[in-house]
Amino acid sequence: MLFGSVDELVRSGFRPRVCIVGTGPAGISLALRLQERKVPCLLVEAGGFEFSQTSQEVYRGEVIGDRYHKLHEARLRQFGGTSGHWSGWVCPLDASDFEPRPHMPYSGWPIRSSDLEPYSIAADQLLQVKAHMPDRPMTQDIDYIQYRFSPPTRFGTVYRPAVEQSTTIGLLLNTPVLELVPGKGRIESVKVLQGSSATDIRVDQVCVCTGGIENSRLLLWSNARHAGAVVPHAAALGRYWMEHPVHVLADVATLRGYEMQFESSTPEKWYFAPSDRAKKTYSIGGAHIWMRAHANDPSYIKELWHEALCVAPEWSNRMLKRFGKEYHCGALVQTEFEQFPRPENRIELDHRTDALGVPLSKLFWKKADSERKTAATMTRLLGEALISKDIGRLRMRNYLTDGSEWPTGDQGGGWHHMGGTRMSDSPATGVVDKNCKVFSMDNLYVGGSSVFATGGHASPTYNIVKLALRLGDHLATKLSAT
Amino acid sequence: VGESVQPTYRIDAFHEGGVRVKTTDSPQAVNVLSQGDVHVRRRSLLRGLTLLPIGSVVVSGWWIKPSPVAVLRNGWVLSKDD
Repeated sequence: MLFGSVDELVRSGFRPRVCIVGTGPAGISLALRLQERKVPCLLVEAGGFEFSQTSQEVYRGEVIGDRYHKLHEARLRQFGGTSGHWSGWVCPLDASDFEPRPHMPYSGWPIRSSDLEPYSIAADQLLQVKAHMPDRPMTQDIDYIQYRFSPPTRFGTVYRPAVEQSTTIGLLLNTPVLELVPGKGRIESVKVLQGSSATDIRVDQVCVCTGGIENSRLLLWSNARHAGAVVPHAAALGRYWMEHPVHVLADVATLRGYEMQFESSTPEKWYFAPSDRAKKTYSIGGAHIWMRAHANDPSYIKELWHEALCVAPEWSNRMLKRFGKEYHCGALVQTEFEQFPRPENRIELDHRTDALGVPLSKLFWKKADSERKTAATMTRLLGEALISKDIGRLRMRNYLTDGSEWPTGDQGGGWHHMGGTRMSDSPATGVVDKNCKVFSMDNLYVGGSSVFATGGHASPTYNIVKLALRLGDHLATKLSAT
Repeated sequence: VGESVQPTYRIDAFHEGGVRVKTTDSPQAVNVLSQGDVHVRRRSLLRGLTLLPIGSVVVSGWWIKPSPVAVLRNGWVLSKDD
């Protein structure tokens, strides 16, 4: 049901039990789950069915630290949220991602992989992918892991009819939430802007699903406006923010065609990843690694093989004799890997405000030695695995070992915004509990990757959806008891 | 890791413990494992005759682990048979 205004919503008599702020994969998945459980809910979206440059301006923000994407280009303020430019990578978090890891401070979730497993099939359906295949060992240190590729599912397009036709899901567009208004230990209403006037929508349960930066921003601002009454335990609010750094690790001399399996448009692909054993043995984070053909530069391949002939003459000559020059290839080894959670990587409120008067985001983000160690170690392990299987020989990039700056020409980050309202057993190190409920608040929940305690290497969307479905069940059960 | 000073070491052979070197002025084999890392300069990576400066080190200690695989200073990850 699409409502043209808050007044229209009120006049309609529709009484949602759950107010969901934001309509990205988390918000819409949650709404659809609540619909299945016959719980009426209201989706409140700041943008329209399409994004506009004016609307995107609200997402501007300063980044301090490592080079990073422009914040107003890294997400979309529209119905369907950032799924509108999602590239479709689907992978579950590893079971080990949920466990406390002695080498990774602040690791460990208050839930386990098995808590999300019941939602795999429903998440597969929402993201339009087939069932996930388990990892396969390549060596003891490197696994083959499967990534599935969603069409990709544009939530705003695919699920718009379901939302518009639903009798239990209401939708307000172009309705930015300015702040959450607390009562005693609960949220009483959300203050929204429609046109030029602010109005309050009273809420029963409220779930903030505005994305991995906006969730922190909205809660920080609401907390500032109401003397800490929105997030009473705010030590971790905005903090432990994480990305998946994306960098070229190495060049690989390999057989022509081998790298093409990573370039195909098949709905499933197999990547390299450090095994659980390797992560534990070498005290590193997770990663997935693939080969990427070097763009149209014959001199690159020539130089690479010239050097291979110098440093590895036996292997190179054997390859040349066996296959001839025309079968040889040079490719880039690229990765997207796990960043350790650290409180100093954080979102703060800027002194500058957006057009609505809300402070802009200021993101402090920097990679640390743990990330360099993860990248360097897994590159070496992959090099050993390639030797073991006689697939190729790789040359690590110098920055991995000489302590120089991270390359600025690489993608840098995967546009994956995680943490800021992390899940924890304790309000000292987290903002939400195992049910995604803000500590000490009766009816305030958070959906999306901002609740991730650690990021693993997996692209977040699939895991966002599973968490949202689980939250939907939790809310339905809670409300059925009242 | 500095510039070349005397005496220099020469890679003698790969073996399970890492890499063996011996001084150019002595037949006595010296195992660099006790010295830490070995710096292999790119220009000297020529077919088994790699001259290393004294105190030179294998990057990040990776040659120290018992492995037939080595990481050279210029980044190549290679097998002893390569």
